[in-house]
Amino acid sequence: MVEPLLAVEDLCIDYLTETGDVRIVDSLSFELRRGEIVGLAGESGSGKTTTLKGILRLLPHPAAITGGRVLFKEMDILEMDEDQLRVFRWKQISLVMQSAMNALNPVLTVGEQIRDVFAAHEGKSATEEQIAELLELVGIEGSRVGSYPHELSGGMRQRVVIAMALALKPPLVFMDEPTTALDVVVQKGILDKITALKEDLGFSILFITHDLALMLEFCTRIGILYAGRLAESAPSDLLRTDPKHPYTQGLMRAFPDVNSDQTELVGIGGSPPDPRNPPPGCRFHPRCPKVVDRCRSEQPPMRELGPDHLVACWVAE
Amino acid sequence: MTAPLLQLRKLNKVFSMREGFQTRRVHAVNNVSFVLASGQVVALVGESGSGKSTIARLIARLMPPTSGEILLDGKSTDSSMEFRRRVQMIFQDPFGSLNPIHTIRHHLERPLKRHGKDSRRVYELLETVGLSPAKQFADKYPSELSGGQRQRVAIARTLAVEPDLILADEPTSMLDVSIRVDILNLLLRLKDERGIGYLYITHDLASARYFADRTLVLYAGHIVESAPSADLMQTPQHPYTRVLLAAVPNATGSRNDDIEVKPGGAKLVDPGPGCPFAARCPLVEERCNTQLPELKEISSGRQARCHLL
Repeated sequence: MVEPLLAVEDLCIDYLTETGDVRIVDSLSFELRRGEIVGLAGESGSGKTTTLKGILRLLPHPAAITGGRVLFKEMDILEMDEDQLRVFRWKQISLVMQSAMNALNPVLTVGEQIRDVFAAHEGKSATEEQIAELLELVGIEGSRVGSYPHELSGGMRQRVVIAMALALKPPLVFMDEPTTALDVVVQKGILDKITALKEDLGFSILFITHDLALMLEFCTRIGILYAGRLAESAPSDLLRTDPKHPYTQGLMRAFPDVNSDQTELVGIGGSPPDPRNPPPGCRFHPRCPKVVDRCRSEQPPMRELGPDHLVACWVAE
Repeated sequence: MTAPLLQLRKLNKVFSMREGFQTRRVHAVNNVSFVLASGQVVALVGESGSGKSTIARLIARLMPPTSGEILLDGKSTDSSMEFRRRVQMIFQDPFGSLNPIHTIRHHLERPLKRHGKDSRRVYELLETVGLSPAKQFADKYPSELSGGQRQRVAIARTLAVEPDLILADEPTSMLDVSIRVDILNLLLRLKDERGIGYLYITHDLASARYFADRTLVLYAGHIVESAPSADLMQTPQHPYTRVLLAAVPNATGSRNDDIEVKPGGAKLVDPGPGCPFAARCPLVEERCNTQLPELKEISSGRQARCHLL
């Protein structure tokens, strides 16, 4: 058995509000092994981004981690102090954020911003060649080190941010909707680049997107989140061909495929629960077509239905 | 023969931008012509900046075209109440398109009153778009509704004036996957029941295949290919359409078209005389750089703008 690179165990994250604590991520457990691209899918508000930021301890108040462990190479990230975190972040796990191309500082050249990464996390300055090399890595001419962000296209800015995330050669990179704001042709170019770099440099990826077709194509294994809980997790092919959780089954019927004619697609109906007032039992039961009595009162435990295939549902088999 | 619901003839839009002492002319829409019949869905697809939304705005008379004609039932449009009744828009952002300080009832009563219709129809409208019990929804504020529900309110608001043509600009792109298809299905049902025509603007080709009868591919403000949606997605002909479709994420693995595109963007400022896609096209020839290809019929019901086809 291979040791997982990242193991999240019973992670709980709450928003501490004046009217009471609101649980956003509820006892979430999953693993990521070396070389994998693990995707987290779910509707907005299902806790995807909160989980990513929680693992990196980047959540601002009023969000707080209220339980669980996050083991990275057998160190518990949740036990680290600020000094340990500063050395750990970026060097071990780096983050490419949503709409990252707007995260660049408009008054600094991209070269200066990449140099900052080395200075802040390794305490040493990088050479001009190192920075140019990093840009070449993501397919941007090294001569662009002196360019300001506005002189680059959206796709190039996104690639600069990816170059920055890879600067310290971390074994694990978190990507939160890294290509969402981009056109499909540019998106394709960037994802191909990421795949090639992953082969060369050997890092692993935790990936978030709302685009299910993209997730199924790009990720090796996928976890489906619903209202802060893991509903199902399986290798991508299995999830596509044989989804077990009624929510996953609903999702697979809800998005059109560009390569085939679908006469009738159906949505899931209803909307996700209010996290301030989640339904008892299984959180999906008010929208579930297969609901039975038990679902309304008892939370289904995570069960293993096959190799690597986990489902939290009373009726799935 | 009766005139089609909507007809565009050689529509052009040039924006002038002042930059220092120079004026730069951005060619956003170039010689766009197409027809849209009642009960038909036409999709406009293309990358950002390809002119999709500008075309919708021109049709809605939110800005004047530089040249060209927009005909509704064969007649040129004017700013009359009648025109504004017949042509309605649904926008991308259901969070920005409703006023947070007014109830849903207020949003729906306003167009009813303004256009001299029975303002008691609010409940009927809400039921039509699947917001029931209507009495409860009518007195809610936008902040109490989910994104999908807000988009339904936006649709109900357009239906209040019984439009003939709806311009839907990315109506589902801000919604969750499980909600999107319900909105498209609602629009399809209204099309079948009322014969409304839709201009559907999207960058999501898979949804265009599902929703639209015909898809037009735009590049740099030019229509480069136009065909029935399923044909276009199955056997794209124009090199740009092929590149676009090869890049669409696909659950069952990418499509088998190894067409390679050169990086770069469309040139909208001072475009040269040739094909707008020539600089990036893998199949480019000499004449592509000097001569703009015509949009010509390449097979029945299908047009493309390419010298090689």
